Amino acid sequence: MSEWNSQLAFLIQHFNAMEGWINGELIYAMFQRIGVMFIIAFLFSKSKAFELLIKNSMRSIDWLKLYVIFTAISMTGSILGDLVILKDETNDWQQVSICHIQPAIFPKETTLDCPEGKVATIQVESRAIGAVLAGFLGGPLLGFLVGASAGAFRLLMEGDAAVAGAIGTTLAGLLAGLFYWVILKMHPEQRFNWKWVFIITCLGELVMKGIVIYTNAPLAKGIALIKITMLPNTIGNGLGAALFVSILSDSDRVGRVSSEKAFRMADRFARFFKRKMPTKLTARYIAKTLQRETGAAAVAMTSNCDLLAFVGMASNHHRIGDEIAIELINEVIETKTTKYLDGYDDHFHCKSDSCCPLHSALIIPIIVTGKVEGCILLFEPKHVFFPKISRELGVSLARLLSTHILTSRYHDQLVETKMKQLQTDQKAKLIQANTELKYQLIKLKQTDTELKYLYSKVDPHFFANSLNTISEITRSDVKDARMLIGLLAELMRERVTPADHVNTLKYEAEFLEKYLIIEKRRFGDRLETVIDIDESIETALVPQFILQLIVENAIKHGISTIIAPGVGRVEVHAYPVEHELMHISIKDNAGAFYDNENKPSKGAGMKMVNELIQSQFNSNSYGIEVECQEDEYTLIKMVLPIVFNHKQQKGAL
Amino acid sequence: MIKVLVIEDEPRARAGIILALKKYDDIDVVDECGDLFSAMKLIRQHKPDVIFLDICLPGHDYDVPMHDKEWAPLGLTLLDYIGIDEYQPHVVIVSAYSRYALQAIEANVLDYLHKPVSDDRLEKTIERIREKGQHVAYPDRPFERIPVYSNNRVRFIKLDDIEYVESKGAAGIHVVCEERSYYTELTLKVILQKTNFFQTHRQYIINPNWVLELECIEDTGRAVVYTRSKKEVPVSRGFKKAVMQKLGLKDED
Repeated sequence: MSEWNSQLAFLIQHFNAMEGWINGELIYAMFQRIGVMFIIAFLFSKSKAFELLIKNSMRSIDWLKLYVIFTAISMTGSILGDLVILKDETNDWQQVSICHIQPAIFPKETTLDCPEGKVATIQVESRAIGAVLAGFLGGPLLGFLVGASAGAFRLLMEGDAAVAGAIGTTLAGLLAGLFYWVILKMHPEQRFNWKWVFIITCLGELVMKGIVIYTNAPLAKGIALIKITMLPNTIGNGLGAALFVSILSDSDRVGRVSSEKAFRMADRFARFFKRKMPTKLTARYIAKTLQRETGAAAVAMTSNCDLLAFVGMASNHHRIGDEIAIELINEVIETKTTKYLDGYDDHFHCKSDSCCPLHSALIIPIIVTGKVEGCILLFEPKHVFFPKISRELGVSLARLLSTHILTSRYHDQLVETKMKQLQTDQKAKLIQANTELKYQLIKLKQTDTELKYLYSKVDPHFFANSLNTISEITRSDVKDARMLIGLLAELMRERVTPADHVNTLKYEAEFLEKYLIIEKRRFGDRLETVIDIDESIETALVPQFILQLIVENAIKHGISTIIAPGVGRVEVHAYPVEHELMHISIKDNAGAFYDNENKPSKGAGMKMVNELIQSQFNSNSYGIEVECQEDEYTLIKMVLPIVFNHKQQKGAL
Repeated sequence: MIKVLVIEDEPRARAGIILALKKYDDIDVVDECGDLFSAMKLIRQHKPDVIFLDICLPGHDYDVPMHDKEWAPLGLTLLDYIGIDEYQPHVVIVSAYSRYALQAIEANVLDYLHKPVSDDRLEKTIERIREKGQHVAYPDRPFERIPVYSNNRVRFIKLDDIEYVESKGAAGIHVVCEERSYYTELTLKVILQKTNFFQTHRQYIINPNWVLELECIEDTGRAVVYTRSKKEVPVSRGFKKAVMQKLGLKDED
């Protein structure tokens, strides 16, 4: 204990005496390094690599890139450092003088008129910055790896503090990484706060100094070593790292926002804004596009009270039709200005889920003739700061949408005025128009009835044929026959009572399979089928019978004409494609779909499917396409929107 | 024993009929098949006394409209091609539909069974078969079309489109048209009987409407007929005289 006491007293004595702690030359070199760090940070913030840091999903290649970048920064710190050679004036390292300072990377062979053991070397450098930044921005593992790599590099260079430096750098990286975890949990908005980075770097340096003391006995030598480097290393690296981060967080990416991008998008949206706020389905499309273009974690679109669409992160608990951030939206409606919750001081609070990851939000009003018609909301989660790019883009888009609505309204007004003119001028014509309208209405009703009729219509051929087949099967296999009758009854029941006009794709596929079981009894080896539904859209909603009707058509008009040794083959593939759409392709190898007159009619099936699609989704972009190579194949391709939620579906109607 | 051929495209239904027929000791089911071509082949091969024929065989006869936008099923068309070679089997139609009954009666079929066939009804049919010992005479109509095999499907080629028909030995009979040729189950003999085509060679018969010119090959006694699409059809020594006669040419020899 007495030994410890004396050492403690010795320490205090040294720390009291400030002499030897400040060395002008080294501090000057320190500022030089900060300058270099400034340049690196500036270049980095301009480079693509910077985007890695604000990316939400990192792939392993991204991690590798970050690792290389930060290791390079760290090694640069080592290379740019200075090697300080100290000489022990007394014998007990009480009096130490600097006898030489030289660049660390090219140590000159200096001959010192000193005996061995009287000389110590230490580096003044900014190696720790890379490791600390890696840990701070990328997490403990990255910090550790960068620290270890830079430390290994340090070992290659000489100096009494080499081992300590290596271990210290690794620890500093790890420490910063651990701090990254803590800060992400407690205060995610602080991730790019330079103050924290400064403190962490300083702490890392202090840890390193501690290790230098520990590895260099006696204590006096250790003290002497850190004494000279304490200030330049700690403050210098701290400031350097802080500078780096503050440049990153300030880096303004608005320059990249081209108005071209906004216009391109607005153009794409134009068709959705004919005279009013978009419907829920189109709102979803807009939100989806916005999310893709801005890169925001989540994008929502609201009317004045309800949520029209919500895509992206946390979309599972933000339901269409719910209220979302009602106070905020009311505020925006009143002030008619964009509201920004930065997630630092102002938070977005989700009402429906306390664990909602979204924290910062940008709420942009869509103003039409001085009235707020709805809002676009961009969200980011806790740990991601809002890139200015998204903000600018969001605001300009809302403006463009407003203009679109406005112009189409103006257009409507124009039409209305003209209509009034027409009214006064030619009343007779109006009456005629009225009649026509009535006629259209009747026709519409007719279509509806027709549709209902088509639904309930059971193909008598199929029914009769199946029953005949089953009747023959009863002669040999009663059990099988009973099963088939059950299946047939099930199919008929579904057909006669369409409970709902939409079903999940999976349900439709199962329905199709039941139907195919019966058809395969009839065709035997002559029929082969493949049903391949992509898992991700199994729960997507499609018009009822859509698969079975087309397959039935393909079998009835195509496969049934194939004779042995030919084998009829029907393939059903459903898979998602871009823009929230899915393709359903049904291909047979018969190629019997002809359009010209003297060939077989395509039957009611195709018509029915077309009507189904048209009545479900009021858009030209969805529908059915037929491709036919005579005697080779018929390919029926359907393009449908991917809709999961039943509510959404209703909104589209 | 009464030889029976069952023609039915649905395997389970076919098995059912055969099972029902096996109850009769004097009925011998010689073979079974499920499409037009196999039927033509097996009829030629077995010469059955009776065929049980499903009207709806794979494919449709698009040249014969039944009524609005419906085409004749191939079972009925088969009847046009079985009344040949002075041999004619009895035909028992088995169908799920009654709307073909009229055409079937016109074609002199023995019976028309409605699916599903009850055992009692089948009993009556068998009685009828036993009574009618002799084969009926089907109306002897010339062919208007030749059924061919194309991409695992039955197609009918109009006589006007056929340039000539060639027998390729083991590879069977091929109907040659301007663009391509097709395999058919009909024999050269049958085609000769039922059309105005004439023979130029043991293996060739030609459609006179397609003949462009005839060129004699010096000193061999043989000749070549060129069709309008410049295809060569050989004329053998044995047939040369007949060919020239048909074409209205005088033999120079």
